[in-house]
Amino acid sequence: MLARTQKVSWFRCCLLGLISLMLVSCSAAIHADARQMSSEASIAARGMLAGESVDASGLAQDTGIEPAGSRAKGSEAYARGTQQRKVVYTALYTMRTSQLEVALARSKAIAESMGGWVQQEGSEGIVFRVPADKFWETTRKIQEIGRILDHTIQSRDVTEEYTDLGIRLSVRKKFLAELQALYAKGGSLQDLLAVKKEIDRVTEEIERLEGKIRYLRDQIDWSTIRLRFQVQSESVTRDFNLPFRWLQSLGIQTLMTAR
Amino acid sequence: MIRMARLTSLFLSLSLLGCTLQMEPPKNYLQLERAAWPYEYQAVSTEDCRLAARTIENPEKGGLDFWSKAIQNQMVQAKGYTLVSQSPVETLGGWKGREFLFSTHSNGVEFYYLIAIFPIGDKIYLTEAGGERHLLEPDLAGLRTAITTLH
Repeated sequence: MLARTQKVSWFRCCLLGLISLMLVSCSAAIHADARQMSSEASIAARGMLAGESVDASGLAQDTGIEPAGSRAKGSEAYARGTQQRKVVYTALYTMRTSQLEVALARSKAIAESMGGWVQQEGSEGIVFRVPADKFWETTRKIQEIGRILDHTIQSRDVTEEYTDLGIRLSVRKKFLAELQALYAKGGSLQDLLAVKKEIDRVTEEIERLEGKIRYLRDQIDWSTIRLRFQVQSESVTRDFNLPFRWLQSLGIQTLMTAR
Repeated sequence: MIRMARLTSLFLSLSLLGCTLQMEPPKNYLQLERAAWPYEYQAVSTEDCRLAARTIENPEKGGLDFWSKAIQNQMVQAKGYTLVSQSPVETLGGWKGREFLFSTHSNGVEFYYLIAIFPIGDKIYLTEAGGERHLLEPDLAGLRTAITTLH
């Protein structure tokens, strides 16, 4: 009876210890955000708290998720930039066209020629995605579609957000492994239920983090370009305009005012 | 007879000099010493009616039918003039052309615009006359005569 009680106490201590470790990790992350530490310092600090050294490039090994930017291959400058920074590029153009069908067809052709794909298409415009390294080239080609009335280009640096998500995922995965090991060791039904409940919670949290990382990676790798078209119908009245300039100078006005 | 002799001598002298377009203006018109662009010849009446002539390059060598229709369309469709009359015309030198008389209104006043066209080879020779209708109408006969002296 005494031995069983000691086993249960030991089990509870382990569980409490793990939960404490997780809380300390979370608290450190929040604290780090609040102080707006630099990305590198934040990573180092939380790496130490988690008892290991974690960096952005090591995310793939720790989390099992392919790092952003690895799918989009482009210019050297772009490659240099993305190795250091994770940037989400988006562009919104408002354009005037006389023929919506033609404008849509040309937009799709540009998207495809850049290795991209159409995400959404409608009577007001089109949304397509292109590899991030083709973003600027695509914006130049867009000018061929029609007259640009307005445009907004946004580049959002998500390096810190991306790195933080990766670190949090790594920590949760390690915690999950430890919980699973603890669960495998067995124990009282009550303890096992408590561990199982914690495993479910952490698993759910991991899935949520993985989803966020996948979404962010998609945004980084594939730039989003939105084109809104204002259709201006062609003039129904046609000016009589023969290509002989002297014809236009005929009439009383020129005759009476030439001095 | 004397008039014909005068005109012939004038034609010859000008053709020898390679001068710009010339006409013998109606009696109540005075030829300006220097014509203002785009004209090569300008004359004005005491009532401020105008007579002018100019040369247009015609590298496509469009014929009389083409340019007659083009002028008619330009004046009627593009400028809103009304065609009053049209008729064939021939200069004393033998240029064959067509004459159009158009009417238009400006600030409640009706104007007449008389234009004659002579496509000759790769050139088009134009004469234009215009003014307020009530002032130009009495001059029409004299202007038509003047146009025949174009050379």
